[in-house]
Amino acid sequence: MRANLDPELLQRLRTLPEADAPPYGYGEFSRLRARRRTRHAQAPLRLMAAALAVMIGGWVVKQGLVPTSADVARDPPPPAALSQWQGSMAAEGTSALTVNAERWLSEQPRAAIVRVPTQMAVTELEDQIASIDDQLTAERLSQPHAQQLTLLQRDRAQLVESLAQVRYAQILVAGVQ
Amino acid sequence: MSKFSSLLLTGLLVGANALAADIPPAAGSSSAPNGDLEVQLAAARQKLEAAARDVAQLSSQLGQSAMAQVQNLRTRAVLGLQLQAEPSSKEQGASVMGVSPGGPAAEAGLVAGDVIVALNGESTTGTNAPRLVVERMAGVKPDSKVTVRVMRDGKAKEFQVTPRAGMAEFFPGFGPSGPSGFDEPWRLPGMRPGAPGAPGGPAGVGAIFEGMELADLSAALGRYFGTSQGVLVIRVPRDGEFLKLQDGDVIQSIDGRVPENGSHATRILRSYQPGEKIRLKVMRQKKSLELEGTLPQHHAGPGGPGDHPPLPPPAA
Repeated sequence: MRANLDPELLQRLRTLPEADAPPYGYGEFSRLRARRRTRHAQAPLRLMAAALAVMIGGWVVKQGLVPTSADVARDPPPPAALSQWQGSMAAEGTSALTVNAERWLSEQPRAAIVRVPTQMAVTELEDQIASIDDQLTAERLSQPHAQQLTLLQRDRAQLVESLAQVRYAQILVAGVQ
Repeated sequence: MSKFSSLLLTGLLVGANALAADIPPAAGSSSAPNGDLEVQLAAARQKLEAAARDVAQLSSQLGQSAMAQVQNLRTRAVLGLQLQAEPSSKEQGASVMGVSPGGPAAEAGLVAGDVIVALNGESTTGTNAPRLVVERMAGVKPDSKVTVRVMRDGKAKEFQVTPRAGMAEFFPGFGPSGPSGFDEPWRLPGMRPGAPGAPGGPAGVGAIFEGMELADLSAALGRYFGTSQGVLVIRVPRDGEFLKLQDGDVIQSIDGRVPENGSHATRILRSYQPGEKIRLKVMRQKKSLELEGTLPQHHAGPGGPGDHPPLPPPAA
């Protein structure tokens, strides 16, 4: 955000509703602003640490150390409907990773400030997932072709995982802003 | 985790590594001029976002390849939810198994477990409830308002859902009998037309709007700018002379469509293609004015072609 904005405008921007202003609220914004000099000095180190964290995350995933069904089961029990939904997805071959990604996405509030090109990528993924979901309903109600259902579910899972990755990158970028 | 997903993750890692590699170690970082660090930080942010956008782009192509193999594309106006195909006898409507993340239903407030009992006042109950919902949606146009009445925890609730255009809306060659007379390559709005498998010019609309930032218009911001609707332009596109926008403008409508928030405005902008005309109604310094421009055909700036390696061909 520009630093030379009208102070009154800046104040109003800061007071955008908390629920719609991820990834952090005004209190957090103020704290980060107070540490601005320190943060700027450490920015390259922070970015390298973030890259390292992503690499470690990738290694963990590649090693198959992602949460297993048993890990998921240890989480607090979700509402019955959600549990049924997850059970249905699991039965159709959706991985625990996708289920967790979907849960994480559902917990993310909508951003009040968006960078248009990246948000375009997000909305494109969201729209494709929505299209596939409606199509899945239609497929199940007609003469279901198991192969098509599997194909749609598989690609839906990939889109959901990608959406989670892009949203996470959005949050990371906003965090170092 | 699938091989493709691993590939996507690797893509992000490459982006993140490039990001880290391009930033020289901060020798005596505390004494480094803040200006330099700000420039480096801005570049790093750009690369991270570019990597994320590439992930989205590759995934989108894969998703569209999958949809191309579906024989019956029925969804024109999309709600973004999955219904249980076989309702139990005790249920009096169509049970929502799950809602799509970021989809119209989720945005309106529907959740898994809701039971849809009416659409636009027309009942969707009975043993054929899910089918009734699908049939009623067949007559709905994208971007129109649909009143969805659901039962949740024994209580009736109503939601206003704005369905989005689905695949079949864009690919009319796909019909109940499958693809026919459909010779043109196809893509979703916003897909980079220059990408393999997608027609059009060398750059997509994402690159055209590089650098643009939008904010929701809260009530307080609305009073400040003298309007109660629209989205605030925090930053205009880097090469956005074609739009004639200025920082601090409030976009009140885009070719008559009123953006409800920044994300919605982005969706509207994504529906345009390079070379298309665009008309904006904006509020500038509390004065209303209309702007008109044409989206450029070519764009070689950051986020455009040349900024990333060529995309691999879409999955068969």
